[in-house]
Amino acid sequence: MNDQEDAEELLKQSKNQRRHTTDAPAKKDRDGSESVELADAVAEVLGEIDQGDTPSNLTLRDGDLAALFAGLERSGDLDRIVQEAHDALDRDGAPDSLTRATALRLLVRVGLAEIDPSVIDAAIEGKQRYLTDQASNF
Amino acid sequence: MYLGYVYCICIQMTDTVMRAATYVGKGGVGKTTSTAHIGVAAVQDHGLDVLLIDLAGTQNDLAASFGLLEDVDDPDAPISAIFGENWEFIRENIPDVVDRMTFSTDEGVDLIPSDVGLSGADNTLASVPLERRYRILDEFISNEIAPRYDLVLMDLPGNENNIVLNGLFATENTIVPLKPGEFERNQLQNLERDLEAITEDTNGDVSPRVSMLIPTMVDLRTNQAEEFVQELQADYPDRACESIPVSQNVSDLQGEGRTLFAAADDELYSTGERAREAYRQATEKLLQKLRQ
Repeated sequence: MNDQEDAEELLKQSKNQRRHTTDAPAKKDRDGSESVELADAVAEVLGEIDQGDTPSNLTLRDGDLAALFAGLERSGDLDRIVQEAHDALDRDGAPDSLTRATALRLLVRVGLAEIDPSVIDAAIEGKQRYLTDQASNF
Repeated sequence: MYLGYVYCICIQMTDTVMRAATYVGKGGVGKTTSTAHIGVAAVQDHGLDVLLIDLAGTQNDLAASFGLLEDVDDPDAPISAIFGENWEFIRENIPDVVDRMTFSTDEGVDLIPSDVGLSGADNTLASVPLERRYRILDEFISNEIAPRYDLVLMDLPGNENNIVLNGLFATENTIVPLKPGEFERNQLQNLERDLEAITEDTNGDVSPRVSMLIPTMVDLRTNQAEEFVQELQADYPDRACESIPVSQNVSDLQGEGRTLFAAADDELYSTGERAREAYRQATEKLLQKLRQ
């Protein structure tokens, strides 16, 4: 389509905007650039965590999950779950530990990777950027 | 029991076009009626080229006032487009887009109707940088409307949103609707404070202020209504306009797609005649203010 045809199409779309279906466009910085990428955000927050400006813990309150993990410990199944999560992430060696906390760390990553693998990739990239920046400050 | 209502007229005069916006915080008090009648009076009594812009929701009451409801049902070029990020591209590639937005009426005014896209446009304005968010309509008026018209009247929605703020920024002079009662007085004071805040927040770059008052649907047969009008004129001697009497003719003619000015004298009750004359005088006072 040429520019005029594109303009006509955009004009036509204008009147089809509805409040309940219109998402505000991604916030733009003053120079018009899009919001920060995930990898940059991860790198930034890693720095904040190191500085103590952002907490390093994740917390959630969920009675069902609490009961499940307590049950896994009592039934002896937690070790297996940890190992399988470790394997699912293609990690070398053995899990750091066979605790509830390790299980949660690994399982969150497994879940994210299933939903959107690019999120994990961005996190890895962000960490690499942060470590590289730290090394350059030597 | 309502004894009378006051309409809000926001006025700004630029070098090339006079601007006014009706703004009232509630519906059913004749805001659109006043916009339509003042516009027609400005054309017929003063020979001005007048454009009415309806930004007050999607019912298109202003178009209905002129019998254009069917014509504007699916606008070819919606006014909501000017608030989008693609407007400049559209404008560059469709030179007659503003002409396509505009409808002629039988009573001499031109009209840009509202469209359903305005609700989405209000949403997307939230992501526009603050320094530009409320100036889009002002730019449109200056660039596209000022060269073509002598007077532009905007009918704004009753709830404050990004579209309304665009209208207030574009016109700067605001008149608060009042009806008898302390609540309405408080409403006026609150709005004055809000407008002062805009002036402060923009360091005086934009200075919306309470301006003209038009009491409407006034039933002067009641002492309370008479007192209300007298109080208004005493408290706001330089801003209170002639009161518009309540008249069945107004709603009857609206149903036919006409204003009081399109009716023959023998079609009008005495209240209709007085209402028409009152709108004439209100328009005269408005234009005097605009030309100061």
